[in-house]
Amino acid sequence: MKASTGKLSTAEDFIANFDIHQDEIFLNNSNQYKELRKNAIAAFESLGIPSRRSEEWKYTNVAKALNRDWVQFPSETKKISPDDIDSCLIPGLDAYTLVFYNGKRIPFSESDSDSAVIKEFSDLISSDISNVVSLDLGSDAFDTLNLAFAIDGAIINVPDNCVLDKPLYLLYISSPDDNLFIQNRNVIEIGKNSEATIIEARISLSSSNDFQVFSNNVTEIHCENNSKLDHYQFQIKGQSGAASINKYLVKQEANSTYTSTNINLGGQLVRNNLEVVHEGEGCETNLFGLYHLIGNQHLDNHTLIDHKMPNCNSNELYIGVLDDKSTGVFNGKVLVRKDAQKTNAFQSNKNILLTDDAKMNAKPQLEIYADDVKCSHGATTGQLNQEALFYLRSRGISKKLALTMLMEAFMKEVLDKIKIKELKNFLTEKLELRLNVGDQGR
Amino acid sequence: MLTINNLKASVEDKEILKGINLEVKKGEVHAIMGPNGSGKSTLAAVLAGRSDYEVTDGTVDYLGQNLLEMAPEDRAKEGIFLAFQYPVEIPGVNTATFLRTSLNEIREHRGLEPLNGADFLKLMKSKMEIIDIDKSLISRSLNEGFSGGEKKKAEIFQMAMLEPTLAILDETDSGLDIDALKVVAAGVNRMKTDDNAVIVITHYQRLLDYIIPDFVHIIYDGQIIKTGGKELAITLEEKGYDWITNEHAALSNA
Repeated sequence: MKASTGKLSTAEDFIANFDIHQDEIFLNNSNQYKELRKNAIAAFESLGIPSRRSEEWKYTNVAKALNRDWVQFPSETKKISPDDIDSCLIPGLDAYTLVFYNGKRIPFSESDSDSAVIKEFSDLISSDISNVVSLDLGSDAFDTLNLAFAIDGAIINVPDNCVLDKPLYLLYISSPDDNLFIQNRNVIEIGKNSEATIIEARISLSSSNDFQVFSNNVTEIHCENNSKLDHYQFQIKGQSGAASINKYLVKQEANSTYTSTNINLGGQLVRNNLEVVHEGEGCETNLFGLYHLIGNQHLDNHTLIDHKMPNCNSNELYIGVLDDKSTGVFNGKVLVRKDAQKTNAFQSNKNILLTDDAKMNAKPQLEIYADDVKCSHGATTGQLNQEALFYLRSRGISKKLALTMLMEAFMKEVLDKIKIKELKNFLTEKLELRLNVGDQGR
Repeated sequence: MLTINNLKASVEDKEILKGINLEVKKGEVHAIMGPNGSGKSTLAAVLAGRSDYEVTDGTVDYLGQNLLEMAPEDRAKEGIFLAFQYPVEIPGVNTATFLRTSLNEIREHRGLEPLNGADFLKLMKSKMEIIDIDKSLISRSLNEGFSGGEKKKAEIFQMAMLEPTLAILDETDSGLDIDALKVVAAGVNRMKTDDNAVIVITHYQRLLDYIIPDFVHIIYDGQIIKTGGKELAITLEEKGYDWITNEHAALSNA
């Protein structure tokens, strides 16, 4: 009975849906969390869905991507086969694995819960909200929408003085039997002197003829004093039917290290908002990004590093290749506040456009209010080096193979940042496959 | 082996080669000399298949095939090797990996099995001794951060590995000190057999003290205006290019 599930395509539809589905939304909520949700939907109501007139959404037409009848609370969902799950695992990787299917966490093997660091989502919503990391109902419509509705997500709590023995694999698979709107809210807490590696995968198994999926996700990350988090995110497949907005709110305490490596090979429209703030001195932040876009794919990477405290370093490198009619956005803001003396902040964005139709909008922004800092930024967008291509061909290497070699070489700088061998091999293989297939279309 | 007949080529509508005629037989070493801008490097580039140049007239026959219709990689597979005047730096492409790919593509074309890692290393080691190239260069990105001399040596090392039928050395001597020059020349002489051929493009005569040419051609304003034996290079060194260009101008005006 799809009519009763409340179809959505406008802000008003979402707001109405909040009332219709209160039973599901408020289930197991503490009173504080209920209030929080009500405030969030009110904030969403005043914000509305951003149009391209908004500076932050100038190059990404999210209203158009949303223009479809979405189902947010499907009455019934099909099951995922074990083979489909297997196809989304990283060969050889031993990890604590959490699987979300169409936004809902599903049981997965024994390793599912054998780590004490994995908590239940109900722990979050039933508890006192003072534990929730970020309650800033700022100006982000999608964050408020997520807060109002999200009823599942990964809750990770690494206690103090703990080095996690293997990576956590957060696997988000979508394969909807209706046009599905998914919202997950994840909260990751890395305790004092602790270390963890988290790999987050977004994989859409639907083909172009199937239904579409729009996922709006928020992940709050808190790195306590002297902690270290290696955070990998990758998205594959779904270039004709999957849209996602992924927001990461990262708070770093003194002497913590946060490294994000984002590999984007899939999705039709993807917006990543990565916001890092330094709450203590001696923080290190590394943000790496790699993308290869084909067809009509659109990727928008927005990053913000808020240097609030002195003696912190940030290092940012985003590299991408755009083929066919794909479009990309890089908007990297580095804010160095007036107390953030002795800041080192470096940012670089490099793009190669393979066709005349591919487009890249790169906007590096440095805002510096402190005087004793070292900061630099740069953005380049160009074509593949024709001299290099001729050089390789003149040594007997076919044009196709030479192009692949050059693109891989270009992207190697970020691929080499992947410290987990199995993950690096897995993504390198996916990338090579795309490079080879892509060439046939040229 | 190679027959160039009335070859004309332009870049951006400017004619650079204005009717080149040249015959190279197996076992021969040809030197092509000429002042800057005379078309020496353009000839090398056209033979290797660089697409920046448009061939407007003439033919090039290589081992019975129409060379001008072949893709650059097919020319290489058929045994043509260009030692670049300015080898391009390619960050992220490992020199050894590149060479193995190149060698195996060429071997496949010749109906040979690809070399495995161990055999490839053995071959590299033996060729490295001949060229006296620093081992560390092989494990670095292709030409990246190499000095001018290292780049030229690396080109000759690649040539030794790929064993071409027709090697074209485009100003390989420029930027080399005398010791490096001798090493490069020795490498070329070592690979020289009765079945292959070398075209040495140079501005100066000094490389020809070490690679002895059978023929010396002087190219000027897109044409070969004089051909002789190795003594022509010596005369040219003594009298300078003015001697030949003035003579050519006098003939043209006559």
